[in-house]
Amino acid sequence: MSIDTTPVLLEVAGLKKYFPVKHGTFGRHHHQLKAVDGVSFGIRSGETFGLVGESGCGKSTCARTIIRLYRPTAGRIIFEGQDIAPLNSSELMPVRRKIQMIFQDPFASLNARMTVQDIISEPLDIHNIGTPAERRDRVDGLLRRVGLDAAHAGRYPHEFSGGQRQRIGIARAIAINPSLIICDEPISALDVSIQAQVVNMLEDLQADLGLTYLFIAHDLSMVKHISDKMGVMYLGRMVEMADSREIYANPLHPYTQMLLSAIPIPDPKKARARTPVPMDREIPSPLDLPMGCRFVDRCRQSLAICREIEPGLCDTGAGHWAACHLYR
Amino acid sequence: MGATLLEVDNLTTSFFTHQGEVQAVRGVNFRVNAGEMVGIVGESGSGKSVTLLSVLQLLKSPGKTIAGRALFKGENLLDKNERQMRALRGDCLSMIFQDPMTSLNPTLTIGEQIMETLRVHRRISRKAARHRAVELLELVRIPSPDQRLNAYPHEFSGGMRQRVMIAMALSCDPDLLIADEPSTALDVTIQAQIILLLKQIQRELNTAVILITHDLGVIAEAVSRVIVMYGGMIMEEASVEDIFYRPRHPYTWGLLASVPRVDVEEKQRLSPIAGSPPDMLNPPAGCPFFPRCRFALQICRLKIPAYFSSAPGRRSLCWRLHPGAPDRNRFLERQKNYVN
Repeated sequence: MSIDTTPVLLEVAGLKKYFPVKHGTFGRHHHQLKAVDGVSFGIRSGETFGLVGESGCGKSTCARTIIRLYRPTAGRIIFEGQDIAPLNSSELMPVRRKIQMIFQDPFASLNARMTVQDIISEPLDIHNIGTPAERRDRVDGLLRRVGLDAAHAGRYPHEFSGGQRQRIGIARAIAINPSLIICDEPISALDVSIQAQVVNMLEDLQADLGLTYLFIAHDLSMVKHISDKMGVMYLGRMVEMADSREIYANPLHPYTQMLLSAIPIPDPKKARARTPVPMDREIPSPLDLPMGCRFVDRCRQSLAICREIEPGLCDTGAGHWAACHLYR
Repeated sequence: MGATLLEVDNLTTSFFTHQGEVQAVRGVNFRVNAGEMVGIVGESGSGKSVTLLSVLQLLKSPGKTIAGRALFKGENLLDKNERQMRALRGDCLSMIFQDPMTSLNPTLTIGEQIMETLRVHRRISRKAARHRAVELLELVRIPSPDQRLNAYPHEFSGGMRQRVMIAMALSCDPDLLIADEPSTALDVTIQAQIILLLKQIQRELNTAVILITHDLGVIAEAVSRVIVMYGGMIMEEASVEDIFYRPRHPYTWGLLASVPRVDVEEKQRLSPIAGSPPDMLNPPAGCPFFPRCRFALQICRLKIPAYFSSAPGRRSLCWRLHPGAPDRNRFLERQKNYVN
């Protein structure tokens, strides 16, 4: 394996985000919900890093903390060499110009009372880029770039379909030439035929503009398709991380193996040849985690040590990381 | 294969909105045999859910079934009044929906809700109903069913709630179970378990199942026969093997090429279907897929195609398959480009 010399654009180290949860009469009992509990990974410039996991695993919280919609409980978020975890909102302004986000729900993420022109030029207004005429030209260009008609700039979001709205969201995200785009389930709300259109467009934009993506989804086949590297999260922890193809070809962590065996394959012979997924316990509450490894209750290969000591993420060779006692 | 259980004939349903008539289902015909599992696949707005809601007379205003018949064991369901339908629904015909949280009553325990269905349809004692409810929870593999009967829906996870919905749907041994996107709201591991459970039930109880989904993976895994819907019409119907290995309709080709495959090693670019689904307020005069179809002929724009059948039980709504269509064989060879 050759050594990759592309610079690391984003490095997350020991990121934690806890939420206080109140219980009992007048909320006297305080608990901590450990949504993200010590996650570390890096994304090289121009790369796509996929983050997968079941609902509640902390993948969206992780993304929102990186873009600093949340204040991290602990850890470092090093973006272009600068730790942005401790910055306050005015210090964050220049950083936010470089990190943009695309959201899951194309209906909720666009202001229904603004025209498409205003929605896409809002980031330009906030960051004081260009004259009004230049901004209008820029919006026209962006609309064409995402495959929409520039003449529709005066319309409102409700006049567009879900796929078109997601394109508007993408145009808004790339308006100020960011280097990192966080895509939080950008295609889950779209129809199959439209999903492929949007994914192809994201790939084209990456090639043309040199974008770096953090791509979050629960659809593992789509994450495998789009990402170069990926991480699997389980209850706030990264349990496995490697090259995407390597993860699919050779999953190490029992949780990753379980996830992969559950993906429905659109091929009747292959789908039926697989052994059915055995009945499993469901995810424990993040407020009441088991001792040791968080996956221990659902794991079929657990050892005695798994109930006592929580395994850390370690390199099993060739950049394939797993947090499991089986590979120590 | 059993006898015909459900026969839908020329079903036509529209929604009469302020903007005009939205033609959701346009002359749909299909059959379901006793004990078989049929999949209906289509994107949002294709009419797949509205078709079955019409059959069960569960459509809400402004939706209205304008024409057609739905023969269930020889009796037309569309002729029945609300009282007669209520006696059938939950008894020999059941339905489960996508979101198990909104389909359960949050103020009653699981046991009370299962027993309610039983006592409405079967007039049995509370004790017998409770006994049956425990059996049903065992059937859907809910651990310690005796205690779980006293739990409320919010104490269950999403997957467990969907199991409870399935238990309720099965309480009176239905002949037909309609499952509308039963696993869509669930995580992939839970989804696999629910699909497995539906397959086991279909085999063990010999219940016919209609599985409505947009997920081709779920279709490949579970059903034996597939109906592909688009623009309120059935585009193609065939066995699951024919749909995935020998599809004949350009829309089915487009669907298959749009989904990434985890089982394929090398990275391929996806080939999406260009454009967007038709506006059913003003559907195209000809084939609903014509504006997005790469193989469209002049006639496709003007006239709705006929069904062309290459074998019993399979049909495709496409002018390209007309025996006199130009380059018919070359068209059929294109199939190879879309099938793995």
